[in-house]
Amino acid sequence: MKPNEIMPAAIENKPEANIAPSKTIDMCKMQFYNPMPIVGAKLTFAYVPFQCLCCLYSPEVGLGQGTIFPELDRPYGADPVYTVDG
Amino acid sequence: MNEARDSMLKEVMALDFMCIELNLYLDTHPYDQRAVMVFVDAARRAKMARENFERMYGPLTASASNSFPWPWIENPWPWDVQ
Repeated sequence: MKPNEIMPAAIENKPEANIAPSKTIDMCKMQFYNPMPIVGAKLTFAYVPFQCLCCLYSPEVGLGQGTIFPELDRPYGADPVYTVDG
Repeated sequence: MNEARDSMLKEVMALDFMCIELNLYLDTHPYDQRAVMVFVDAARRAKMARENFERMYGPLTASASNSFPWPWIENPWPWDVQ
């Protein structure tokens, strides 16, 4: 049997596919333990862009913000002066 | 607390922080020539700011205490800082 045939809903990523078919569902426990594995899911790749040195905050501003890199300052891209498109 | 002392100390802290940040950046970008230049400049400025501060207000670390009588205790204690 192919994995797809066991849990077709899991392939389509429907929320009910991940919930065990029982009468009472303790949602608190669901956060920590999901008894039904996701079957047939494909592997994926996480992508993190590599940081490039662009403009920097002045030392004083950097000390206040907790970083000298505007692109790492939260909320990201809020200051238009330091965004590439801004 | 002396206001001029505070602003000089803050400058030292800010420049030291800049060095730490660039240090971390360079750990993952060792071939970034511009970042190396910025780091060298920041380190030089941090060293100058530290020396200026210590010349006027005494040592920032105990290992920088090199005069007699022992100058380390002349610094404000943590409970003296407002």
